Amino acid sequence: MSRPLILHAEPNDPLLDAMPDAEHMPVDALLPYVHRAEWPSVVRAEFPDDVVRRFAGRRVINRGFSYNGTRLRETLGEWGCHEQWCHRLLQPLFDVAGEVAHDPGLKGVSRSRLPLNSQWFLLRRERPDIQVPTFVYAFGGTRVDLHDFKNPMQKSIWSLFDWKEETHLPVSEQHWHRFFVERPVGTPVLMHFVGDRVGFVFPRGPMSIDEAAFRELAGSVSTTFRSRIGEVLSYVEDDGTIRFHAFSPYLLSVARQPSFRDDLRAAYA
Amino acid sequence: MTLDLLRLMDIFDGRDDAAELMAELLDEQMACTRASLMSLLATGKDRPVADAVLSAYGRLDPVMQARLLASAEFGDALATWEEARHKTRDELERALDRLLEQIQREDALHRLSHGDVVAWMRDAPDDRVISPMGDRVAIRENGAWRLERVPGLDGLIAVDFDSALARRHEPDSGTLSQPCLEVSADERERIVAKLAESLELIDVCEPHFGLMIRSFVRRIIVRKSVEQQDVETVDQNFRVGSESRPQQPGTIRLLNPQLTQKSFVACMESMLHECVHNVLAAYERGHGKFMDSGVVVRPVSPWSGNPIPNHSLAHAIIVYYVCHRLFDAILRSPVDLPASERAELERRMGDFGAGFLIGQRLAEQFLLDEPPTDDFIAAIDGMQASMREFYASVDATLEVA
Repeated sequence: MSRPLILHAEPNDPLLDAMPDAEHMPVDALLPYVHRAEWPSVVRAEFPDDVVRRFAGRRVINRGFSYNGTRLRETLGEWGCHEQWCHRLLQPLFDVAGEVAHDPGLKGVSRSRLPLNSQWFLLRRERPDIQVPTFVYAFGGTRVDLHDFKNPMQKSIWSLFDWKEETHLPVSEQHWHRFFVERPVGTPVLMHFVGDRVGFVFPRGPMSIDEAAFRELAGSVSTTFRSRIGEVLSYVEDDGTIRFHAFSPYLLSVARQPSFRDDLRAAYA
Repeated sequence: MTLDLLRLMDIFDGRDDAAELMAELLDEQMACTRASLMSLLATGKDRPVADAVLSAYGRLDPVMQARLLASAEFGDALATWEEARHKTRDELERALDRLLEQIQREDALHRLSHGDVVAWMRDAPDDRVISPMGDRVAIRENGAWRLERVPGLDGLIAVDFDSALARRHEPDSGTLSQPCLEVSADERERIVAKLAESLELIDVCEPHFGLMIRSFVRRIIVRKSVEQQDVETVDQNFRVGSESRPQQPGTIRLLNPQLTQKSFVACMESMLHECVHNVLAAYERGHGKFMDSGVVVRPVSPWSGNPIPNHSLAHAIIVYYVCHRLFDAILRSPVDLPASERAELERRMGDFGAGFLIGQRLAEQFLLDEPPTDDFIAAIDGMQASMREFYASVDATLEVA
């Protein structure tokens, strides 16, 4: 089987270091094939056969996500194009790939890049038995009733792993559509999955866990969020309840873990 | 009733009988409002104020009754009652009092148009009394009342800067939660002119949209919240915007249309955008909402990147489909447009199209316990397919060239 192809937006994407033997393609390598088009068309890509062949049937790990910071995104921005046009340009390459690691597309539209409460909703729609945090999501500037919360904290719906104290609350979310969650109790468990391989990091030191339950959780997360690879934060409460907090495709917390790298190697052999 | 979702889409697609369908929808909407009124009166039948409302309403001629039923204020009073979580006696009295006051106000202005000043107006504390429709205002100067038309578009759409509805605070509104500053005479003129010009261009390029706007928009509320020189001090999300609320039928709200940032093209887009919301709300009034309008979980709009309620996304899909159609028609028309306007139209049209071109199925973007109806899903799938086809064919044309 040919080695996997990592299409990335950032030069220091942690997966590049974790998979040095994979083929690495910066998305800007595709920029020469992208052209502005006359109305009613907007932009178009003319990928030569040799580029298309690099994707055809390959196992592609699409690490582009937003493409922010790339010259491709910048160029499309200069042309006044909505970000979706960027994703549309690349879709034909993903269409010929054998497999794609994540659901491509815009933040919040891609199933792999959902805000917190959407993640909890969709996961529970698949698996009503899964426990998730209690939250309240105000509409506009309406008042928030936190009476039923034991220990509420305000969070950004997009801030996946900041659960001690929110450090990523943008100004736009501070007073409008405010999002409050129950502060987690119990012990955090970080799990990675690569296909059906899983591994764990215990930030507070070794602990015993219900591995079968976690594996099942990983399977459900992988399906619901259309991702072959990911990191999952949960809290195990005193009575053993596993409370799913967040899935992230960004892999920032697990990329350096030896067990994660081993699983990547094995899964993409 | 011949209207269903398919026929509703025929209005937007400008089929030959679009005008008849619009008229049917307006009749339906009016019938629904009348039924709401009767239901409220039946609920309050033991109260003297309910009798007062019924007899005051009954004394009006059919045109005035229609004006009230079509007005934002009447709709708002009825909606407030219908949506009240706890239907207490106080809520009931409040709703009936509001309706009575509106009927009396409309009647007073009608009498003034015939030269009569009713007793309560002689002692009124305010020097301005506006119709619940927002299109006429009685002004007292030097002790004498006169009736004036509120400036607007074509005598059919009032541009409202001053009414209580225009000045009130709504904490969950993107427009009416913002500060309310005075709009100068010059700014008023410029705003009305910008809107009138937009409507003219729509009339030329897609006349049935011009008809749709005149039929479903009766009042444009303007909220000025910032002076031009202070724009940079305001959060980007609250500089310009537009909004409509089904509780106030026939009404659209514009935030800061006086700013240079709110271009002619943007005004035109807002008018059509909010008009479509009004058409959809009119349809839903009689046929039920497309889906649950809860706000606990909100899908992200592929257009704005913001989480919005499911029901808002349902509307957004149709709104952008219609806007895409208008902008396409304008750009294909022989109308001579300044280059900057043409560029803005092209760019915005690309934005409208973008949301349909996501790889995912739009109909699956909703976060709902109960899925939407099959009809609705089919309508969304149809729009997405049509847009994909549109861009596939324009790209194919380029390749051939």
